Amino acid sequence: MMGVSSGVLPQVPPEASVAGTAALLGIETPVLCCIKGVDRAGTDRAGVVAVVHPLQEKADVSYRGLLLVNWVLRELVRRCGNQDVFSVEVLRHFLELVQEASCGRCIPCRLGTRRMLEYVSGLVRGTAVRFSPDELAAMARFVGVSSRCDLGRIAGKLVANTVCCYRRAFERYPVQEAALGF
Amino acid sequence: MGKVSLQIDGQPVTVEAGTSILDAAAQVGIKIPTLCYLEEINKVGACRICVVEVEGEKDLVAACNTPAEDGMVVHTNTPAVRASRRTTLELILSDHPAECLTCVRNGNCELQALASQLNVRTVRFGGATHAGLPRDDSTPALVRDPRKCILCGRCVSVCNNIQAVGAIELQGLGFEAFIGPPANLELAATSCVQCGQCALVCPTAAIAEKDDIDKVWAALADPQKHVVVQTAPATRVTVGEEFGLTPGTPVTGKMVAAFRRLGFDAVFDTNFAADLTIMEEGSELIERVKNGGVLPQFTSCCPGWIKYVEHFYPAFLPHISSCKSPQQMFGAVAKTYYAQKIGIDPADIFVVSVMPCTAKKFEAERPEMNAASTYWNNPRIHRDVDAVLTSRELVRMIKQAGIDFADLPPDEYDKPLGVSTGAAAIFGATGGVLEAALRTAYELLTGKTLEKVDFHEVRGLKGVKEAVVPVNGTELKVMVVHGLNNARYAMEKLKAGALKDYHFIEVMCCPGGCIGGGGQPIPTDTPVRHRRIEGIYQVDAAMKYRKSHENPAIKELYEEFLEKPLGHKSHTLLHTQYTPRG
Repeated sequence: MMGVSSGVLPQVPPEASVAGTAALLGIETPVLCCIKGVDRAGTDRAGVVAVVHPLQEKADVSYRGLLLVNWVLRELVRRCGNQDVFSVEVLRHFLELVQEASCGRCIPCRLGTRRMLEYVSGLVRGTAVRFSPDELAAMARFVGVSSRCDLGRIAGKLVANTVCCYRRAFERYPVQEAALGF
Repeated sequence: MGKVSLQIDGQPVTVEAGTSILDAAAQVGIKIPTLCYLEEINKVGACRICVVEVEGEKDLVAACNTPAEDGMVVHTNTPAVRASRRTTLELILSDHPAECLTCVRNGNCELQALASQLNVRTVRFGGATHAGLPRDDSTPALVRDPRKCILCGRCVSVCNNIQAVGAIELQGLGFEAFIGPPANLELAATSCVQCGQCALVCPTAAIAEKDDIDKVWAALADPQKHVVVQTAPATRVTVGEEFGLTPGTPVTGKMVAAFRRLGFDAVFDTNFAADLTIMEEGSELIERVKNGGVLPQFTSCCPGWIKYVEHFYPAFLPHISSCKSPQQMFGAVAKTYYAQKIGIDPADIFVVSVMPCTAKKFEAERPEMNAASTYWNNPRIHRDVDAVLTSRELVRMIKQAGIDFADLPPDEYDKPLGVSTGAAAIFGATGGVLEAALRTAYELLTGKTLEKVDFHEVRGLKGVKEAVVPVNGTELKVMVVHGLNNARYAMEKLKAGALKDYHFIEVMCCPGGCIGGGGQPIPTDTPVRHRRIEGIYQVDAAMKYRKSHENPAIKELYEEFLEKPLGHKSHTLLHTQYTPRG
């Protein structure tokens, strides 16, 4: 298991059915707009990277895709063993990935996921101030319903769900008392 | 198209299919707030300020680009909607410099107005910002301040879709996304024509005109300088807007009075030079028609259009009239004829232009625009035009000086360079230059009086207008285009050989012509353009002379100084050459 502050995903056992998906969710993946054509039975082929670009004019959120990403994240956390640490780490990497894929046009996705990434990164580095899981969840819900395309909508909903499921993990990180920032 | 019926905030409304929720709501008196949206230009739904709840939809939808559907039930003011708009705005403000008090758009900023409208009084979020991004002031006309950019995309839309230039684009991903010239070039290194339409649609001050007010104050304070001002045709129907008057209200006399109070030594009119342009450009057209010159002849008054051809169609530069724009003709005449007439050293004359246009700043700095210096062989003279102010800058100067503009008693221009005709006044509207040219060309070619001076076929906001005018046995075929995308249409036709039988084509870079110029008051939208054009034709109708060749001051100029149109002095002072930019 890597350290919390290293910023690197822990190793996932190669036999794990989710490994392929984890690789696809890895940092080197340049674009993740939505995930489609996957079901739970085919997890080793899961997480097909989207071909739909976020610039598309109107996109209904792919709730099937959302369910899949959510499941992948939870599965990664569960298999890692140390849920308190890993859920926050995975979320940080996920938000980095979203930022790298965001077309930058819509405010909730461009700035909302950025601010969430900053909160989570601050938490990991021990520099977070006045952090509250409720505030993060509120921001995530906002991003989830207000974004222009699937990328932001899925990201927001997933973060909100992760905060809900692993609230204790977020609360275990030390938070500074300073009153600036989020 | 059929109709659809829906309910918005409990109110039934029936609209044409395809109407956006935003427009449908407006029909029942509900004004949904917007930020990136701009009618006819930008409907990308990027900013998410206009989100609304639609029953049956899991997420909020953007009202600006979601079509109303039959049976739809829309809520525009729920707690979720209000919270979303507020959070969006706070996120924008978390990456926006809090410089409102010193910002050029203070009091006229859409972001500022929206914060007030949505009652946002605090910003809960902090974090990384773009505060370190450098300003780009590489052009003489425009300043880009990426720190203030909210990435609404309006400028990109107008530059690409309305102006067909594409000098700026959305680049990068996520938080690192930004709008600017490709490959991190400075704006001056691109094909930007400096028309300023981007500044006109920018909701903040991310793109604005370069401010030359201090340069003018310094000249006014210099006792050695004889400071003269010229006012472009389109400014007289727009400046009043900034002082609470209805768009299109002519304020010519008030403007003249304001200039006197500001301390200008002489107040002249670019319209004088517009009449001069017609004499030269009309004569050039007649010569081309009679002697088998390159046709069609394109107008050359608009510096944005000239730069566009230099960049995108350099092979067709011989089609462009060699006449300088009225601004530059005025500068050359002021520092030669006028200087000689009143006995002032031309090096002491400081010419200020008040223009509807940012590209005029670029034009004044073109290396070849120093005809007076060449004429007198005196390097102390520098430029023909020393400073160019946009309408917006003039308004700021008047406000800075504490002049109560709305209550100013009207005054009259000085002679001789303040005498003009109605033909010159209509230069400010699309079709005006062509109409003015026709009024003169008809009489010069036929020797008969033109009874009906109004050519309605070339007026109005239609993108491409055409007419055939019988003149002395010749069918004069003419075209008018405005907005560079329409100019591109004309140039592609020319390229394809489809304009061989045309004689004269007027091109104005900005939609609506100079009344919609990039330096005009903000907002400038279609209804405002219509009213300004009406104002221009009011000015024309009220003039004593309505044909350029009837202008007594122009006749005097030729008699006393220039001798004849297209003569030697005219070629030296009033004509120019162009630079293929590839």
